[in-house]
Amino acid sequence: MIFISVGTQLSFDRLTKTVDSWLSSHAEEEAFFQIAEGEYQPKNGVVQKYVGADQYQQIFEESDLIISHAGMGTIISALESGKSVIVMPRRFSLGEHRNDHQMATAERIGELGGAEVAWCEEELLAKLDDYKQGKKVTSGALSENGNLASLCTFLDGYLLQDAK
Amino acid sequence: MKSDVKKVLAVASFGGHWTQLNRLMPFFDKYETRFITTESSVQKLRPQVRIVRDANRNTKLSILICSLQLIWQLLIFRPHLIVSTGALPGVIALTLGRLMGCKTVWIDSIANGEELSMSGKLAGKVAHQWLTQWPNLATEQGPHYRGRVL
Repeated sequence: MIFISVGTQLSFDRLTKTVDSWLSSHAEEEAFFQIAEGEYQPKNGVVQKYVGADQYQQIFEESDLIISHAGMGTIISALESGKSVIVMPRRFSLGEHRNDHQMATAERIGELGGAEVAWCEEELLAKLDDYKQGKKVTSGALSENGNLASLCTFLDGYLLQDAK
Repeated sequence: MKSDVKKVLAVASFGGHWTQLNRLMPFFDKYETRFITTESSVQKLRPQVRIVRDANRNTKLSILICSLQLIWQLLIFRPHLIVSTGALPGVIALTLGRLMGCKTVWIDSIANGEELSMSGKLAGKVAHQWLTQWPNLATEQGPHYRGRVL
């Protein structure tokens, strides 16, 4: 199954529309769309505005591919689960977010652990074709680089020190 | 293994902030940690997580309700330390907690790689430890870089 998620806040019709158009010529693929307040209603899959935490986990487990806005929640969940993930960043110029931080996130994504980035609709379609042809679309790996350990060590030290 | 009886309150609104907060489990697991988020369905998986009203700067009534709920949680739990990864409910928790004498840590979202969020800037005024997850955003006056969740 393919899970398409636009996150907990804003609609992202450009993403859902693109994947839906691809699905219309790939009827054999199951899909679950989480569209938030999106106006566009996808026709080729289950559609829901929001999913609760329990359902999110279940859908994630059943999915082979995650397609998402460049939100850190989905990216981290995908990396943790080892699932393939393609992200398309929201663009401020198209009214898709309050600023262009998702463009920045997408640019740094290699540094963060390696999800695949589609910068536009055409690239997203191309990556979906790659996926269909059995090409591995992302590394989906979460490397142990010591960053998390450093942060936890810092928190330990701060909590246990006497004075503020 | 609880290495200490210290109590930690971990607060984040649901979504990416919550996902990032949970990456810190190796730290939280060592103490008596209570989690607070804004989405009640989380309790279906983790019944012990407390829920407060979500709030942003455009929802004044929600800010009030969220604040009262956080005051209550602080009074009954009495944490030594509060950690938040965002967003506004986290800033409120740190503010109230600091007034009650708690240590406070803000970890700005890893989604903010070029500029801190509004909440992140606000948190700089209240948190004892004001952290960013991007070395390029760290300055001597804060925010500081001490590692990241990935």
